[in-house]
Amino acid sequence: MMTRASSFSIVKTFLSCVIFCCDKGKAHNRLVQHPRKMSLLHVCCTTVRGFVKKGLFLESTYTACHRTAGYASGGVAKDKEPLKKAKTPQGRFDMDETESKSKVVFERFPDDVNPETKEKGGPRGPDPTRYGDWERKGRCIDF
Amino acid sequence: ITDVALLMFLTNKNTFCCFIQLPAVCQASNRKLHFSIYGKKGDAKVSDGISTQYPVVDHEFDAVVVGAGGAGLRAAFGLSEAGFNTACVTKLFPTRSHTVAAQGGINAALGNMEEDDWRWHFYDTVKGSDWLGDQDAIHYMTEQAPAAVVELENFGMPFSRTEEGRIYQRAFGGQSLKFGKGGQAHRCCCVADRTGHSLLHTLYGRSLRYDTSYFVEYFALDLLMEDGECKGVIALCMEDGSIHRFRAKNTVIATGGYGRTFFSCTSAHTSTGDGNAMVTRAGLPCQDLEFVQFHPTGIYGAGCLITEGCRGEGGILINSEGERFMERYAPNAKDLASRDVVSRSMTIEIREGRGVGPVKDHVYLQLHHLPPQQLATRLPGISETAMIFAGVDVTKEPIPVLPTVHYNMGGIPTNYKGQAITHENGEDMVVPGLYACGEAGCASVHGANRLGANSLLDLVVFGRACALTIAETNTPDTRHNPENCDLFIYLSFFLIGEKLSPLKPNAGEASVANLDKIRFANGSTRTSEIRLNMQKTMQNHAAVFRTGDVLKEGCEKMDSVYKSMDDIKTFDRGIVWNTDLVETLELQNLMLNAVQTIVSAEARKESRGAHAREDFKDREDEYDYSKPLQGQVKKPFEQHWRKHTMSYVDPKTGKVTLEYRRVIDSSLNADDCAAIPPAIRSY
Repeated sequence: MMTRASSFSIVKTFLSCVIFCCDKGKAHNRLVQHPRKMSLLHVCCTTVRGFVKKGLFLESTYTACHRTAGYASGGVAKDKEPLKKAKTPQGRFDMDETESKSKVVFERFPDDVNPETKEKGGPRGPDPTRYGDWERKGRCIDF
Repeated sequence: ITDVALLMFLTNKNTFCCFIQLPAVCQASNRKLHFSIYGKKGDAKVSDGISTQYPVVDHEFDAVVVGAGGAGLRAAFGLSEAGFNTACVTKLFPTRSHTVAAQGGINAALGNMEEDDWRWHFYDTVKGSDWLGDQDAIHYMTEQAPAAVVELENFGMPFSRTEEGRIYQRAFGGQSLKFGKGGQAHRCCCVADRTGHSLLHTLYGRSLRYDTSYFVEYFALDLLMEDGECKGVIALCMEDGSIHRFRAKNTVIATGGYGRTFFSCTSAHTSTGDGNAMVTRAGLPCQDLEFVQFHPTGIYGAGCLITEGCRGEGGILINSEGERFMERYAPNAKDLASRDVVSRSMTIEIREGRGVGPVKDHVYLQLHHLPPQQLATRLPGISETAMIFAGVDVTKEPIPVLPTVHYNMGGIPTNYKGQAITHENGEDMVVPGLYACGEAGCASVHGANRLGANSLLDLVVFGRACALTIAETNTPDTRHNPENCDLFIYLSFFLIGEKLSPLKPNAGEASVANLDKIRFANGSTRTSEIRLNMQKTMQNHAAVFRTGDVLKEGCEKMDSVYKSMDDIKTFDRGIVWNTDLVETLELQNLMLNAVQTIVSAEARKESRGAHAREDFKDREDEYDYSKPLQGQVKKPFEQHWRKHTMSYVDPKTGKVTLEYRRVIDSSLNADDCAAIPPAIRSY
């Protein structure tokens, strides 16, 4: 298995060298501006590139098979690794994950009953209408 | 092991049997999905009547409700409950309507905290409207208020309770006992701190019990009018770009307000006054659009309002020079002056060039001179609000604020039953087939100024009123849902049920032509630029500070912005989920609302309620109510301003024509509840 992988990589590096030469030649040809002559080299390049792509594709399928083969043959350690989503960069207003999920600004009343007004199921925290408008977290709500 | 295997075999066998039985169970069940694409019976027909490029799908219903906020949902399921085949056409999912943001409460004279009477609520509302509200509609609303709140509670809305288990009512501004002489009244019922959210979810949940067909994410383009009668609505399905015509004998408009005409507003981006614009394009008037409620301290750019408690706790307003400018405008009260004084002072500072920011268009509210512990205990959560919406640390930097729109009192004129009216030869004429409720309608319960906690009440009462009026005057056409009735009733309705009157095959042609024109518009200015121009013009000229020259200049600028709509450029040429197209249609609607607002404001030469002018500071009524009435000559109708503005627009040129209509000063039943004669409004 290891030899197969190494042989693939050798083939890949060989082909990439070929591509590099082709590209260089192609660039040179573009400077010279002989489109018809370029076409032969172009065809060679594309076919080689096609082979390389196919090779890469084969390699990727090979590695995929390798992975699945690994699962089937008893990769219990691999099963436990969950597939992780890549994280987007943290924005200015994003909360740090280490911080608590919801900063409790208003605490719950015992049994949800406001001790002063004896209101059950009412708004938490100080009375929203204490300033003449409906206030919540510094915002005034219009309704 | 054998036991386990037997158990597994048996359970597997059971599930196997269930799978076999499942189709039979499905057939026996009557439960249908509430959401159906082409109406109940799939009787939608596709026709080429308007254009071969835009095939139109025709639907037939008994009633169509446009808009699914608080009022729209209440009307829709009220109609379904009465047996009508109802469609609810909405551009948003019902629980995403702007009603969800109304976190306060509902006023109702239930009398749970102290002795209360709906007639005192009636007095408070009439006084709050500065005697521009129609007293019959206010009578209807305040009398129905306790029943409406109890009905909501029966639908499952979890109001907060007192110890005895009755609905808890708290004090809120403007409510008094004994016709203003008995002190503060406690009338505001709430659900923790999210009444609007809870109301909308309760109504939506309740509406699923009935057979309403919801057409969600359908943008209503225009009304189908023929011979002055409303015969339905034409709408664009945003999901697949098809045009749908909903033919119905009754159309209810409940599309909400138009806050987005101003640069700074608390409304959602979808509050674009679609209903008002549809009615304007149909040649019908809109009422009292110049009355727009402002709040002095709204966060710049975000549209949230900062509570007046900030100033009450010691916060100060400063301009670009760092000066506490309120000392100049209100030397005694300073920052604690009344809302309109503060709003006007802020606007004058900005106009005179002492605003802050890159374009100098707002002022600062400073709180960092107060001790942080005091802020945290007296105003918990304000640091979070300031950080999220303004991006400032309230203990170090000031908050950028400017006067912000939050409610539109004006809208489609209706009578107290919810029927849309027009004004001809000095008389109110009902428009057959058209109804309006909610913020879009103006039965004029709010008049020139809306009291807090009355708008949620307005939604449910008038939503129900529209449904009741339609049920009284029409019989449902039961050919569409026969399984709901037994055979005898079915046959009788078949004979007397009303058929739809015929409609021209090319009805709605103009709307589709407009749609096509916008879809392929190739001018030079983008939609967003024109919209920003309009919003800035309205904020600078038709906001809190209104004087003759400022308003005239604003009218001319709005005229040129309206004409610049001919040069609009859109980019998306597709028809499936074309938001560029929908935003441009919304901009057309906003423009119609904006021109009517500013022209009506310029014409009204007095200060009344939310419309306050610097050059005409007093209210002008038929008598001068500050002096005794004896010996005063009554001014003729043309010379005083206690009247409703009815505005018409010519959509092609943007020219606004104004007419005036009398305020209804008599209540529904003088024995039950005496009308309140006008007086000076002072609190």
